[in-house]
Amino acid sequence: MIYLELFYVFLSIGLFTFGGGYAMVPILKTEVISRGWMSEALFIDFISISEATPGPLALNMATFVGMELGGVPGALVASLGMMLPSLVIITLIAALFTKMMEQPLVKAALSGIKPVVIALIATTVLFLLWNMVIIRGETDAVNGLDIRHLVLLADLGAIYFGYKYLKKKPLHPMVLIIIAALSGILVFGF
Amino acid sequence: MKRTSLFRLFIDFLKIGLFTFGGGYAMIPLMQRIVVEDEKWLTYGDMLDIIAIAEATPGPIALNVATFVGYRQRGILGAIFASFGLAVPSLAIIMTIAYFKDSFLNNRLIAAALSGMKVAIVVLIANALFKLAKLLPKNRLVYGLIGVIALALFLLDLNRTPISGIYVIVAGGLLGMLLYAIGHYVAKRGSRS
Repeated sequence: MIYLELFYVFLSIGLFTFGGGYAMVPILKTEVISRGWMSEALFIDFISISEATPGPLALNMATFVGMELGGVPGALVASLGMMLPSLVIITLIAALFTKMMEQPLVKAALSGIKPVVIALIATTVLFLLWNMVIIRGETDAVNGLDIRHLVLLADLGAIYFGYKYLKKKPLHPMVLIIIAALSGILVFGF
Repeated sequence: MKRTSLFRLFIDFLKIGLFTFGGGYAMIPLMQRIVVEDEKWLTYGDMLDIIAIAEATPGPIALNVATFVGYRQRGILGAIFASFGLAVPSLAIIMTIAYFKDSFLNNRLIAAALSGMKVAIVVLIANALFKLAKLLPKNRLVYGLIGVIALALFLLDLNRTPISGIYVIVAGGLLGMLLYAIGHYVAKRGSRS
């Protein structure tokens, strides 16, 4: 039955992918293609749409693949399968959090993980900036700067940090995102 | 302390789900604003602990944080309401796109708005990055190491030979435990002599 299969595949993906959405892409790709669920081209389409729309990538993919194979019930079953491991594991951790944080070895491991997580976030920022600002040619060689993105970046940075400096209070992230959407239409839309 | 309503948890995480794009780190700025600054459900320090735990456990980071906060506020029901709040925008938007067999990304204006929003996300993540980095012990070696790791991962990625973040996280955890064990051993020997 397709619903059981969807549930099983996304449960295993929710259970075995560590460290954010991109880790699950290669595993999901193998599962989906080896089961003959869809072509690689359609899968890649799904990834690019899931990246560009709101919500966690893994959850968007679960909804997409589920919808394609089993309609609305398929989408719900796949998403539920995806969410279940997080719900169970994190609920257990939250219940034991205070006790856990008193364990010296847990504290020691976290003290090593925290700087690494910050390094990973920094890598993400570098990568997003690079992809946004650098135009690449066919051979991946740097082929120039994307001026429109650069200008938008400078403007939004000035708005955000300028507001913070003048008002001594950060601008609400949702406000900046809405300003950015409108500026995006002005800069890239016409 | 006033008890948080389940509806409030649902709506707050729905907002976070609606304004999060792509990778999990994109939700950190909005989580900080809503969960830490506005609702005061967590401190900045808790937030970093939870992101570190979420990275070391399976599942999307945003979902892990939603479950954690929901559970701490209202138990199992809270965990469920917060997680489903986060999931509703994904479900609704992707189902609509799949139903109409049109990605909407072909619409010039929507694609343009999304490109603009991505730029804002970079500004916001960069700001969140500095806020989180301030929570670490003020130690030049630690900051230097972070810079080196970040640059190395970035260059490997550019070279199309990326390393999965989980290996780096496991290495960080093991290093933390090793340093603790060495410190423990040295202190024991010191007290014996």
